[in-house]
Amino acid sequence: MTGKYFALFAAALVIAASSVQAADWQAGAGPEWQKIMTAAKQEGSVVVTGPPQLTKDLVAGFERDTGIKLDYVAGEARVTASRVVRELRANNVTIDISLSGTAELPIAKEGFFEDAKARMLLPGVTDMKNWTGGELKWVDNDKKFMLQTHAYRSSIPYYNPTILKPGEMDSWQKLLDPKLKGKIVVYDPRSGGPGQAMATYIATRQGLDYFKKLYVDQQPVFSLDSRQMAEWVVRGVHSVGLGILAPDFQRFKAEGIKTIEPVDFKDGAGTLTGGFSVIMLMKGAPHPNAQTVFLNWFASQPGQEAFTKAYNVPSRRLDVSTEGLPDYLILKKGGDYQDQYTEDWANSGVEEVRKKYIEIIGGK
Amino acid sequence: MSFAAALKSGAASRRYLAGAAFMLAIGLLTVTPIIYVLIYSFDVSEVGKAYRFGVAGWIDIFTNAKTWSSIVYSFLLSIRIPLATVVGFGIAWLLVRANIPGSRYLELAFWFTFLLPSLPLLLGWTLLLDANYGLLNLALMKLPFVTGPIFSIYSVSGIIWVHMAMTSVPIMVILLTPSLRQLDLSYEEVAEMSGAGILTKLKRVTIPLVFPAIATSFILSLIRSLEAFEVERVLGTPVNINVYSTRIYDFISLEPPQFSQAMALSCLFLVILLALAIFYQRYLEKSGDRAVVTGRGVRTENTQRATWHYVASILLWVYLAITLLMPLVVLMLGSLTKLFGFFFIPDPWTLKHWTAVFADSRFIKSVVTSLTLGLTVGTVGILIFSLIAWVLVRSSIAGRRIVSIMIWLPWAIPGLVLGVTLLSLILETPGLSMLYGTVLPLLLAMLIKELPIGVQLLRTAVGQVSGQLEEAAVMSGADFATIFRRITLPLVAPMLVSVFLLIFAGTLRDIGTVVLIATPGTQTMALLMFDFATSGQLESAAVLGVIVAILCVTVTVASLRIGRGVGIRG
Repeated sequence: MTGKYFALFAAALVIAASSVQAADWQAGAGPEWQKIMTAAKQEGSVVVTGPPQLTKDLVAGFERDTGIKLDYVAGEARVTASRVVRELRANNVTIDISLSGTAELPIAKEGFFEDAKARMLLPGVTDMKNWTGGELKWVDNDKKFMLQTHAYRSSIPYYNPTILKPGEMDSWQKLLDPKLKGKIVVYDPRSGGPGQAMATYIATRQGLDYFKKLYVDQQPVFSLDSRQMAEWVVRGVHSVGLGILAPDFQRFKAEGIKTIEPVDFKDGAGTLTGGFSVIMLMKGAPHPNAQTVFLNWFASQPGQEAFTKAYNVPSRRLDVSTEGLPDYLILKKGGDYQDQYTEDWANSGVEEVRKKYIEIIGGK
Repeated sequence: MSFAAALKSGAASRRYLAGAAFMLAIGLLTVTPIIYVLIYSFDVSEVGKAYRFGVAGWIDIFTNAKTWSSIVYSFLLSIRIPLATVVGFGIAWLLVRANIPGSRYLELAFWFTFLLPSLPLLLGWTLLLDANYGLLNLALMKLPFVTGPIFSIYSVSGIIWVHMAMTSVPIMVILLTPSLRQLDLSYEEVAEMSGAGILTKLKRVTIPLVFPAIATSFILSLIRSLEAFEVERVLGTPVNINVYSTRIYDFISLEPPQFSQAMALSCLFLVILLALAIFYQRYLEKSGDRAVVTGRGVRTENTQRATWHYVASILLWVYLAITLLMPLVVLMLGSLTKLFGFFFIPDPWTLKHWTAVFADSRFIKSVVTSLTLGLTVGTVGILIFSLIAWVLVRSSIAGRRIVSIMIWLPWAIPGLVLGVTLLSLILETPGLSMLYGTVLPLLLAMLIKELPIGVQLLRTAVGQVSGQLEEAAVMSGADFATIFRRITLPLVAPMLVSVFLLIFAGTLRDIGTVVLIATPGTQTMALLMFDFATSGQLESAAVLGVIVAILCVTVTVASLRIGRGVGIRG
């Protein structure tokens, strides 16, 4: 009986804590914020586009905390990006906010995005104590258009430990072992996303010669389906997968599957990525006030928690718990990660490297 | 000028005027996207930048070995169409002319097979035929004389099999049964009385009479086969089998996207399509329409059955058990597993994906949107398409031949390119841009996409109805609306129901055309399923696949019942 009351008391505490948390994200907001909130409620909704995985948690969280409807346009990044670009060019924008990666950098430079920095109004969002390294991370060098809220480790190969022993998988060179010929599946690097990040990392860190040996001589199978790649490794169809997305690996782990594991190479820790956590505000958006409210909510604790819950990756906000997140994704202090989420990286001649490796694998 | 000459000249002017107006209306729907594609095939600007003329896209497609290889594979894989035509005609004949036992249910099952969404069924086939873990392969390998996997789904033959099972054969059965049903039994009886056997009857009477329908179905299927995408994407990519449509998708999904190449390749396909359309048009003109529905009344029932009727029926049920039931059962089981396709892990079963889908706020919305859109496009579609078909067959307005070819154009460009094109046209055209964000662009897109199949099938059906029936009504003083409503439409009712169901299914299944123009509140079930599949949630995609299957059965049964109400036996 005591246990039952204790459980009820604990549940009440959790509910109370979450209500406080929901209310707290606006703590210290000034009169300007209240005006924007009122105007946003009159606008009635905000339209956000991003990956499908975020739909449930973002919609539930935002509507719970603001009372404003969130119309979420889910879709593949390449498809939604195409739509956003056409709307912006035609000056007929229906989307307020885009959650994506770095592909929109050229559009940002064209001046199609609102100054997000100027729209960050809540003290809990602008207080740098809440962010890793005491600063916000912007993809653009202007530091105001493309805010990256999550940072985690990526470009990690996955392998099947029933086929390869853990000791056999300790360096990038091991992937060139002749016994892995035809047994590696790679995300096609021609289509952006995880395949491009992985291939660029390998080509820049290990060199184009190594890239050719791995991507051509080892006769890997190309895929554009991360889940299929993970499944092939799990089932032993392929021994190693390059470019598998973390949620697809975690899906199998969550059900107790033991035939897939991430590797930790001593000669290269992978890349630093922001995934789809880069938030961009469209110019000429139909709901400008709701757009501001979403930005502030998204950059606040409950918004970041919703993203983290949906994607299972760590936020740059320090008050978002990393408990339960896979340890291998969390960036270690002093880790040698290649940060591909900066404008400097995009301008560092990496395009030339991409062109070269695409030629190596037979062109587009 | 004499009064008669003036009258003649006036009639000619009206003929040309009506022809010009008709051509303009059809041209706006079909030629505008093609002009856009052509113009933008020469746009070499970067994404987000202003138009810049260049021929790099064209040079690339002519010099790219992969592109040429994809064209070769497209034609190689289209070999399934002649095969499916033979098999499909045979089955349709058994169902309609031979009237084998259970033909009504068998026909329903073929409809059902075709209407099912391809992505989840494809997953079912993969689980059955994968060379490494396919359930059929694993079962067969338990036999003493089988040492390795028998089937490999990631191959040319695997792709052809999946297409044949899921779409090619069922669509042939669907397209050919209405024409066979309209065929008066007396034609065959006369042949029989003259001592002709079954094969002679088929060769001399049945096939020649329904040949326009066979030709239409063949051409429609051939063009659609060259455009097929999902199966090739899933089964072809891992073994380097690329086809024309997956190549276009590659161009669009490259980082950065290569729209000019995608548009240029679409234009190249346009040439192939135009060649087929002109060839088909010439054939129709040369052969003329063959009226099989005349004023004498139609008798189609043949009730005498022999043993072979029962054998044929059993064989068809076995065929359906393999091509429909097996992947469907695997799909259903997949939706109940913790991990799709992992039947052999400890405690593999769960209902959580079903409860998650039902609890998802998007689910009910998507069901409502799909049904509303499907029923609206279906209803509006059959009215517009039958009118266009009637004008093409019966009227004497100028420019009908050009319009006949224009009708094919929406199929010259794959769904995703059509979607990109329509999105740009809607956004950039003053007046149209205000419609963006409403459901109207979605309706328009689906009507354009379904225009070729709707008009071509109804045109064949109208052509099979003798013009004397309408002429008799004219002589009795009936106006056009009355004739169309009371005579033409009821006589082509079997095809109307078929076209309605095809449009409904097409709308329910379409992803490429609508993915860019669907607004937040107008997400269809197919788009939701696509979201689940692309984010790796195959179990939820399978749940939706099962629900769509149930919905399809319901609509098919209801439509065929309504069809029977207006005199169709289905």
